[in-house]
Amino acid sequence: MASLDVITDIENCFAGGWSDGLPVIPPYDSLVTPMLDALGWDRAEVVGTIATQSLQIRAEQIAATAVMAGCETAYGPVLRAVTEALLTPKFNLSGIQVTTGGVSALVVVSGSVAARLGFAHTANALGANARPNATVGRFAQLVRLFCGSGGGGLQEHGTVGHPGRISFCVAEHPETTWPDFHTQFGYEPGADAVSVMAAEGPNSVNNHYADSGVVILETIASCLAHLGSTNFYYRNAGYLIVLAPDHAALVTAEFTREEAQQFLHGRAVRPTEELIRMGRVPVDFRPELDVHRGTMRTLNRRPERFHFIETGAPGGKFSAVIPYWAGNRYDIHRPVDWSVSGQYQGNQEETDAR
Amino acid sequence: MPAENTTLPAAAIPSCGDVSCELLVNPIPRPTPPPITISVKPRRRRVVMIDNWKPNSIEILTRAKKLLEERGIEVAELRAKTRAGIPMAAALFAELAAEEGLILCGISDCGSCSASSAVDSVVLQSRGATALAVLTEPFQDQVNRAMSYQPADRDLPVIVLPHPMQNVSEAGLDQRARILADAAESYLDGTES
Repeated sequence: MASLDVITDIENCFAGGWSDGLPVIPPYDSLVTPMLDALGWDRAEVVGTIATQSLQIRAEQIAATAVMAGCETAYGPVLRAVTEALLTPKFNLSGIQVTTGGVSALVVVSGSVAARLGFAHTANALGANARPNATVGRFAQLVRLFCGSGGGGLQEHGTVGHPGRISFCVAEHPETTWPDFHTQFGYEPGADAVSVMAAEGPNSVNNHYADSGVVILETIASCLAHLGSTNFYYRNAGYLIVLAPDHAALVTAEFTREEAQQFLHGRAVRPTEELIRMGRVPVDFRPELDVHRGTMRTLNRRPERFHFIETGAPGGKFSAVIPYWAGNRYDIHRPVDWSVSGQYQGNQEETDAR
Repeated sequence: MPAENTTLPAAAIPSCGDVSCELLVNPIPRPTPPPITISVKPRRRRVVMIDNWKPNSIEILTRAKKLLEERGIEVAELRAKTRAGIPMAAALFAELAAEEGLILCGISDCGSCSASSAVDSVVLQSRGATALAVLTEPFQDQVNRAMSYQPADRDLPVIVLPHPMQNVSEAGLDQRARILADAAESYLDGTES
């Protein structure tokens, strides 16, 4: 039976606004101190700043957040990489927190991370009931909530939001057909890495009867280019294309990853006239936005903004697409350094390998 | 001071056992800005408008510029920040800090862009400029929210336009431009505070 004191502390965290709406592990110093050691940071170290808000984020606040999310200390190196990515100024943590869009701070782990820490990467890979996925994903949302809201002052305006604002973490299969996910961002095959994206919720792509990769990609392209897509105006955002094994077998047999990116860039399009008629591109467009009547409009400007990940369980003919937030053109990537736990090594230079 | 309907997170939460209490480790960083003096009447009768790329922002700003110029008010060429959902770039902040006219930061009709325009106005005020955010109605509280931890001699005003601004008629654009021009002129004259 849990101590009544602990239950009281959980309730006090609710009452004090130190919660995401779920119970948190109370951040006792006896738990925060070993988490700091796992992160490899000194307690008072400033690990991030939001200069325009006169905001400094200290390591003990991040460690407390990791404890509250339910993370194990074994996750320290991953949590450190996630923190560095989330607090990279270009990621725009405050924008993600307060936007009218439905945006979560999606975490992707790739390489040996899944196997080493037990991340689920087969059944229900986009919302796995496994502690690493659930708590690392929750940690990222708590960092967004605690550090992106100007000390709780800024008003969030998400119109409908999405469930990933509680937790959203995806692990790639340790063994993949195409090169590892992180090789799309300049990291070597065999490396361990985390990526963070400002992401909308996943859209399921169902095709049970297709017998070729090209038809699977055409189906994915159709899902990408629906009229409700947020990206037709600015065209800066990327997409996470989630290939589950059955669809992946068909696609990877016919395409290299680069060919698949080119294919989607060419097929995930809508007539500009239709977008104008439907109110998806304003008629007051300006030259910088490259709106040209009589042409097909792509979702983004570069094929390499379609990022493929291989995850999920065999046996179902599903894939998924996860659009990134139109208001953020940067996804951020960091290597996982397993040696950080227990030895402070200083902040890493920004290596955004977008 | 926080807006009236803002409940800020607890600054400290004690955990008490049978004999003593300890504080839980606070996970929430708080802004710690130095005090500022708010300026609502610019030193020079001139307006500088900052576009943010939101659809129709430039339309309304352009029409408001024309109205102000017809009234004999100097308006600088329109400027644009990099993106709506982030504050201005450091270089633009530095340049505008020296501006003696009224700076209008907008026009914002969404969550991230309103927060960014609000922060833009606060940062420029902290550097001595007369800067106001231009927000549509549902987002008008964001300036007060951005001032939650900011010691200041008074509230920072915000110019509020009707919402929406994206799917409105020519008449709707003209109406919003007129409201903006009237508000800007009143701050230049010192009749609005």
